[in-house]
Amino acid sequence: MKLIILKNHLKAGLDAVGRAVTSNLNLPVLGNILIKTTNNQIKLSATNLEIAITKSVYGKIIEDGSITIPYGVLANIINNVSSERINLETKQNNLIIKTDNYEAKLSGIAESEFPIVPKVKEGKEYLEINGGLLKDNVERVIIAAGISDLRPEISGMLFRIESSELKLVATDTFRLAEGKIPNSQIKNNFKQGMDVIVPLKTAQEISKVIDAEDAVEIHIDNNQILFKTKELEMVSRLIEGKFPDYNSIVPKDTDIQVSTTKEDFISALKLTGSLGSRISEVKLKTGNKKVLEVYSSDNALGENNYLVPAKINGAESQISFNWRFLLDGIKAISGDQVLIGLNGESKPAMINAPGDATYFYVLMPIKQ
Amino acid sequence: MINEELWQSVLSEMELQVSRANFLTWLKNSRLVENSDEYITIALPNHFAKEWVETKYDKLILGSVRNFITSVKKVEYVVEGGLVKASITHKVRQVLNDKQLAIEEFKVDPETNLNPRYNLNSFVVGSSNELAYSAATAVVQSIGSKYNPLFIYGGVGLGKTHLIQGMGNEIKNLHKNKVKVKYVTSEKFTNDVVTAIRNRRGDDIKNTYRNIDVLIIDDIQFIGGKEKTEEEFFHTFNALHENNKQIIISSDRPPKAIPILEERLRSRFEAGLIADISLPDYETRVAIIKNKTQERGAALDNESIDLIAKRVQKNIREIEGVLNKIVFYQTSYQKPISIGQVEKIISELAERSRANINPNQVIKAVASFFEIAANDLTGKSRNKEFIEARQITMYLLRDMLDMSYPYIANKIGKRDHTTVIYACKKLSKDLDKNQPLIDKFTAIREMINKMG
Repeated sequence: MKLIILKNHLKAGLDAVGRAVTSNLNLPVLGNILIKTTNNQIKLSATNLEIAITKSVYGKIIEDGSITIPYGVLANIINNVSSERINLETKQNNLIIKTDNYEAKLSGIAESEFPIVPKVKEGKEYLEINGGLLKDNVERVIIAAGISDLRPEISGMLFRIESSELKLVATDTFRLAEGKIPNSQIKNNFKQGMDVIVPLKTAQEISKVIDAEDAVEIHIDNNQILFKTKELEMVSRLIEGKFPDYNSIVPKDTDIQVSTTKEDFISALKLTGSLGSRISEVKLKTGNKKVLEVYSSDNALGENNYLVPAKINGAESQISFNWRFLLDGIKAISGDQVLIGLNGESKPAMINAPGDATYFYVLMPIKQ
Repeated sequence: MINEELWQSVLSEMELQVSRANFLTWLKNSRLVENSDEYITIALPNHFAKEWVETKYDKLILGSVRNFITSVKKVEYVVEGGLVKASITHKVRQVLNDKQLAIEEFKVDPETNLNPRYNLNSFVVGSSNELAYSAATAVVQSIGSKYNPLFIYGGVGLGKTHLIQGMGNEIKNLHKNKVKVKYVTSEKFTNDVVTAIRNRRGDDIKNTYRNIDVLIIDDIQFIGGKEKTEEEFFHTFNALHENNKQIIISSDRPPKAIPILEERLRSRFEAGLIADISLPDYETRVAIIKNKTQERGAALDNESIDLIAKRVQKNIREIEGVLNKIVFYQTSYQKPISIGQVEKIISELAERSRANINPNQVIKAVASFFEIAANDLTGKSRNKEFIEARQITMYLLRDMLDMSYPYIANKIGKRDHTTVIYACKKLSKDLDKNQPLIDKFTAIREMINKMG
């Protein structure tokens, strides 16, 4: 194999696939990335046997071939070379990196030792979505996710493909977030609705490696999912099992509605959070129609009270929440107004933006 | 040679031929799924392993297998996620205090929808629920053959859900998950039907509800009048029943008292065993209170238990409400509760439920029970179906709200107050002996209490 690549292209490629590199004592080749030329394209791949990322990079191919190289050392070299143009050449199981003033010889492992990335059938039924839109929704939903070894089906993000929309849902059983993308914003070729649970790690990678400008195709086949853009392919296993029926826990009505500005509420939480004690507890007190009181106290440190201008409907109440969880939800709301629906001290609260039906965040209180 | 031995022998040969790293990564967590003379099927833990073994080791494996069974021509590979437990254990991001409440519903097993909290051991048996309980245990012992369907009815908060979910859990434990159980409320069933229609996934209902061995459906009365749901349920019911799969149904009233339920469904419900759960008697209530106090890790003297059992008669959930308050009192004041305090807590709860009821709610509840319009109820028509509903309304207004005869007469369509007196007398006489009427009353009273 013999290639000439621009540093920027190679670096971008390494950054993307590097996210799937792992160190594995049994199989050291998993710490390597595969560089391979096929059909006049240079492809970089890495895998941790849960997900595999492949990215095409631009460059001039002088001679076809392939090799796998330890990711860490290669990335370090490419990040630090000063030249624009980089020559790559294989000699047996070695990779020679050459620039105007630098030359290195790295020992690699033959491609035949590298795992074969499983194919996901690309049929007619797939979904196409703008990368930015997908990333935004993954990011605002993933905040509610948690890893549970006992309950694998909730250690992931639900992709619910319905005939009219795509829903993303995540929960750690203390809170739950749902983002909706209507069909008007995506191309949905699935004939039937479908539920798949994408591992959390995969969901995290989506928001890291996918370019906001690109169109992303989502293919599902045989318990695997493929996210595909012009240059990037990410294959992941899916989690087997059934996501809990969450619709029943989403409050349909709320007893008390608090409407306030996001900015005010965020500063209230950050400030009172500093005295939120070990369990991060803040109390929301309603009573006055125009002011929401945010109160917290700590036995050792003291107490404080923040008055947030708000519009409040409903009776007097006092409900405790974990302020970090509350803040996660408030931050995920789009726009500058936020609506908090309260339902008593042991029922979930509902957080969303007025007039925005595409997102909500449900949070359980702290027992008083 | 049995499959496990065969595969073990093949694996030991493979171990000598491939590197240790490769063996551990690709082959160790595998299993022989099927072995016919012509081909064998091997399950591997993930798609990577499948690709690798299929491309690189197929020949070796086939050769090795043929040493033992010469007729095998082909090895097939499938992925079986359960073969390897998630090896990556993550740290919990944040230490959470146990005060942070979790969404209870998510503790429910998503496959069976059963809440593990319910079991038959904690179900207190008394004369009021003896029949239902022994039917339940009989069904648990011999699924599908004894009483099918088993139809259990009774008022709100008397333990229907506890009994039927307990049965589900018991069956699951008894058969070590080999019997597929599914618990569903009729509301959820309706939602599933609607979702299936909306997403053009009609087969979903079939797949979810017909491939099971025990279907438990709660609060079936809400299915009445929803035609498509009734139809789907009818087909599901038939499919299961024909294959001797057990069906367990609960309702707040007997099949014949569910209005607008299709006749074909009603007759099917009545074909098995119908058992009722009625109000628990004093002794049962005492046992329940003792059980529940123990569950909460609290202590209560006999005098208080006696008082609660005497005063809170109609609903076990109310008993729970009282106990919760008592436990709260005891933990916050760190001292045993006095009999006076118990008395106060009970009266508060009783008053609260009474204060919330108004005449319009009574009218609305009766109207919705009989599936007629509230206007017809208070209107002039002397149609037979309205008359019974009207008389029941009058009786309830008098009985529950203690309203005067003339006021009631005025409220129910400006009638003469003697009409009301007649209605109340007639019903109080009938109520002594007419069981269907008593059932109706129980159901309506509960609807009213729910509104309050």
